[in-house]
Amino acid sequence: MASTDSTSTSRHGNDDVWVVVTAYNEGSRLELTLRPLCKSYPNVVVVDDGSGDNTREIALRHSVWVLRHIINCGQGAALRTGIEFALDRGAQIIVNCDGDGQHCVDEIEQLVAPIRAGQVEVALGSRFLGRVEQMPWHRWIILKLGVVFTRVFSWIDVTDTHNGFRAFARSAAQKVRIRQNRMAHSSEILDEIARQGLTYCEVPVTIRYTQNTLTKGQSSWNALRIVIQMFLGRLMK
Amino acid sequence: MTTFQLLTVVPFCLLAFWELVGCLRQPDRRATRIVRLVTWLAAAVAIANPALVSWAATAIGIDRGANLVLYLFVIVTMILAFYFYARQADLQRQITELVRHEAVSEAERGGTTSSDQPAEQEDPVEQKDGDAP
Repeated sequence: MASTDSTSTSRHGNDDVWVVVTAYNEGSRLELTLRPLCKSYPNVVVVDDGSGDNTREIALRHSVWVLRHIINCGQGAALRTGIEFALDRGAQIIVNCDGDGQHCVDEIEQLVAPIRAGQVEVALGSRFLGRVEQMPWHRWIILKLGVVFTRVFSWIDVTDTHNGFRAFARSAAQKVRIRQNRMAHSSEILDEIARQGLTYCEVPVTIRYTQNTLTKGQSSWNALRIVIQMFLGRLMK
Repeated sequence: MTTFQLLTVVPFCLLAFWELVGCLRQPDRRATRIVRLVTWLAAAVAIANPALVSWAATAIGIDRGANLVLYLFVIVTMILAFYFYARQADLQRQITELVRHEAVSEAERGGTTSSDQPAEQEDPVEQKDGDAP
């Protein structure tokens, strides 16, 4: 019973936090994320981005909100759907988290801490300040190139540009406009942070790569596509 | 006039005539029709009288009429590619908005498993069922 009481207290203490989990064909991995998440956070939104597997059914086994895109629109679009939903329901802090188990949900507490303390409006997870498990060397190079690219083009000084583990204060989530449907949304969010003059900090986090997530995840060559999408997106604005 | 000129100039003239009629009948889309009318007429004139294209090319510092046509083709193709990309992006944005609206209005609340939370746990979100879709 002691564990139940502590769980209950922990969940109540996190009433202001909404965790948005984006998932596309994550039926086999979603459980790993949702099980610990639901123990600590009463407000979890899973956005099933048009999965062809049982992602939605797996999500519905847990006490979470499940939003389903009837077609695959991309992670950026799914994220915006979840953020808008959370804002409509009065979220004070919104945390983004991938549904493939790469992010360590225990670290949400330290991610939201600077926002709760009123120090910043956005907290960005950084694997390079924290820990990375089993990252391939070519991914390391691509991510480092992304950091240089972002410093040059977005004028924002961060150590990890494509980390989907981040937290927004309500005011920041209302200001940041995600228009990029696909993977370029990460760069767009950094652009928006710089453009809107939002205060931010980086928080060390852990990213776990597995053979499973690497097989399913985006190819390193997609970096080129992201750059093109970003530039075209800027032209379209 | 060569066979090729006959086969191309006549349809271009017919298209131009079609645009002219449409222009007179539908004043609301006049600007677009005028652009198309001018395009068809220019194509017909260029094919019927290649010397005119060569003259125009020389006048603006290009050696040959064929080069002028090629440059114009490349420029117009690039403009059209950008235009269609913008249209496609806009369409995708509208589809995403539609999908998002559908997803939010059909939001489902998952069940409670034993591993998630205590059964007596009162979920603050559930109290907002009134505004939940």
